[in-house]
Amino acid sequence: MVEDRSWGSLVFRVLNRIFLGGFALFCLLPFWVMIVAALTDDKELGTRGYWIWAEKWSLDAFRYVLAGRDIQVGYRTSVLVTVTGTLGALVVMSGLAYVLATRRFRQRRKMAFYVFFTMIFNGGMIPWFITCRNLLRLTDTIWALILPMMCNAFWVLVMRGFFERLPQEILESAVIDGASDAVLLYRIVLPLSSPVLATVGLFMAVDYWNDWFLGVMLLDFADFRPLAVIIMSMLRSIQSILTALQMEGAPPLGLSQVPAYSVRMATAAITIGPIILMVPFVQRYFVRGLTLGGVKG
Amino acid sequence: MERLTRRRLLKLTAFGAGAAVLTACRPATPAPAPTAEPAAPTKAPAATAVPEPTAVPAPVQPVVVTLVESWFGVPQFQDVVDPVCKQVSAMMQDSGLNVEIRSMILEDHETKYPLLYSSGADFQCAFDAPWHRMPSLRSQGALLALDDLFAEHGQKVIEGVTQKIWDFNKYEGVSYGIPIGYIYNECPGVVLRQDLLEKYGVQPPDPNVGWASVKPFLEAIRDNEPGMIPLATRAYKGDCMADFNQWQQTRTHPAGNENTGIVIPDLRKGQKWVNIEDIEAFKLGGQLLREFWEEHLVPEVPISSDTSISPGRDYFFQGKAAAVVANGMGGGLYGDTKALQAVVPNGRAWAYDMQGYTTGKRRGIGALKQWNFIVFHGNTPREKQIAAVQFWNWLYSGQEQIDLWFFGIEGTNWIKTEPFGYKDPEGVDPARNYRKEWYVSGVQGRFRRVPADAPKEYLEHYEFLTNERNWDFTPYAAFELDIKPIETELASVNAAYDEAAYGWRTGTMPMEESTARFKQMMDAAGRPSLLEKCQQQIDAWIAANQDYIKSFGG
Repeated sequence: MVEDRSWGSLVFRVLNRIFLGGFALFCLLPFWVMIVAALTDDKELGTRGYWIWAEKWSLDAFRYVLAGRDIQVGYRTSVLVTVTGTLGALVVMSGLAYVLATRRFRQRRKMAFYVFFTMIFNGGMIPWFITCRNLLRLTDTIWALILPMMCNAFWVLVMRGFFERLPQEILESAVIDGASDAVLLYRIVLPLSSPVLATVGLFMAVDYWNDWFLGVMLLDFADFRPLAVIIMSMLRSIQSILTALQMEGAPPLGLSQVPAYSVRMATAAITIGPIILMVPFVQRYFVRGLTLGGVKG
Repeated sequence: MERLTRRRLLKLTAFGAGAAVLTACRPATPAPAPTAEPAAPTKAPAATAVPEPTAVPAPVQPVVVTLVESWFGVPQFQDVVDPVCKQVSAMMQDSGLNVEIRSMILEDHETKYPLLYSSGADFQCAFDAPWHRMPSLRSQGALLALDDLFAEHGQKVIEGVTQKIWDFNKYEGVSYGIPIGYIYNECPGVVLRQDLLEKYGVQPPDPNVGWASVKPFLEAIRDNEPGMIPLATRAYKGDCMADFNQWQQTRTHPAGNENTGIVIPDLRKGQKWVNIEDIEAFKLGGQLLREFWEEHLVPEVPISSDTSISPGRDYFFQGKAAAVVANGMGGGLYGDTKALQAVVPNGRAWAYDMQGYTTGKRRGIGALKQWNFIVFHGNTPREKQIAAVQFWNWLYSGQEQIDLWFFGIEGTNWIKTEPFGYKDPEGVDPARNYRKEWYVSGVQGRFRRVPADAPKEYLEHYEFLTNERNWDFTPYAAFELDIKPIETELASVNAAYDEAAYGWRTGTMPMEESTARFKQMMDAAGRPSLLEKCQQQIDAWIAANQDYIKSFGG
């Protein structure tokens, strides 16, 4: 390709780089402020506010958050739920997507519509709650954190679109050689589908990692909680102390010993940290995966 | 050697950063031990005979009562609450009551609490309030009517609540919850920097004079402390109208809704709704605030916040404001100094009565109607309903039980001080320590011990607030507006209120101008119709309850 060396092109390239660089900085700035705030002394944060650099650095917020057994329990629970849930979700959703993509299955369009329908409408909070608690009896079990999120209609349709674009000749030749549907799926289709599996897996992992709703709704007396719920509980407790302070008359419950402001940023950093660390491993699939959404028909 | 690619470098950086953070954050001191398991009850075990192989009856399992805990004002962790519940259960069973209590802590109370009723979850009682879900649950029949049960199994609860308050909080003659109270009313005033007051040699505010006596202090701050707000006022809740609020404890708002522009000034002296701008105290209060604003004693643009319920106090505790309007004096007399000294080491806070209640200049109306309740789930087996009432009755039967409920296990969660105090044990994380605030506990606040280091003024103040002789009681306070017929009018005036009231609430407009604007906007929003309907309701109630009014002891 011959590079355009005209003045107009040069101006465009310069302005483009300035604009994109500024935009990138704009996107990165909140993360930077979050990290700085988490590492700032709490008193300085309360008096000076949030800034891009701290005058007095402190690890108190991280120490406060990471100390304590419940954080360790939360990490273990979240890792277990994320790994199990993500793998289970990929198995379940790939199976359903394969069925919807198989041309031999004549009812696939109707079934695809049923799947699509659940994206738009649902039964509401109360029926969902009753189904999970009374019908499926998931309360206070680890499956309460895994099963309700396992099948996402949107990702099923994305996977279906990818499977439909796989070369049919490979599948037909395997069928001629006597391969069953299970062999087709697990030996041929899935190995060819690493981009979509990596993308869907990453998004499902993020969803499982960040989920707090299932833990809040379906765990009553369990001695385990996902990390998101524990952090939410910690922040809520600190807010309770602040609220008590503002309510005039309730003793301040030793607020001065809790890094109330910086701990919020520290919890955010701790929550997103593992996900950020995962990104380099799936990065090469990410761009390719983002263009998978071209669902046809 | 393999070339170091950018991707590999990114991975190594991510590993290194994670490892560095985890290493650096290893706690220097051991993590605090979780709340200890309760000590076994100190009771000599009863001698047991060798059991006959076939004649021993199976042990009777205790009836499990589940309480859905509240969520506001206190930190709550299941692993902190559970040991206390076990101790409470052990004490109950030792005393012969075969009940086990357990607490269900809801992380998302707003969403999950009504779902528990819908799904028929197994719980027996819960915190609720007229301003929360109680009215809707009551209308749906989800709440248990309590009079018969408490008459038979809960007499001690009624005695602790007092019969007067118990009867006053019935709905259409039926009790639907244990009303939780503490004080008969608040004593609003001002919390200010006592250290700065002494530094500049200013006379303390005089309760018999009111907010005008705060002015010298505010002027001293304005003249000598650049960058500090003399009086941190809020744009909403009308606390800018400091002098107007001098008698706010006697005013009655429609259904507790302050943003309507109509009040009954004093239920003792008449039961007529009036427009607030027609009240003399309103005009005087607004003029004083306008004066404060013109002389730069309050912020030019009032403080507001979407995340804080009291941004003025936030500014005060950060050392950025010298005084703040207080709905009650308790904080200023005890806890506020500790919070202030976290940022301003030499700062001292103190509270002053601006009502004149404590000096006898005025008498307020004591509130018998309560705003916090323990309600009981109607869809639960009768055996459990009785067990739940028996639990509360047992709780109210002695101070030792109440102490355990409020403060946890003595020696682990708190230390008793005489005559009626408590203090925190050394080394316990206060953000995780077990505590129950009175307003969510189901037990009247006057049974809760006071902090051991509280000054005598704090104790005297709460003795004043909790003593019947300091307050007047009126039967008309039992009147409750029916919201349904006035929903439309209420919504309309509420929507207009903030904008209409901004001028006189903040002092940014002269009173004549702001009052005229307020009147025009509120009347256009339908206030006259609201007033008429509210008046019809209270007139009808008075006509129907003449016997009750005449028989009311006061």
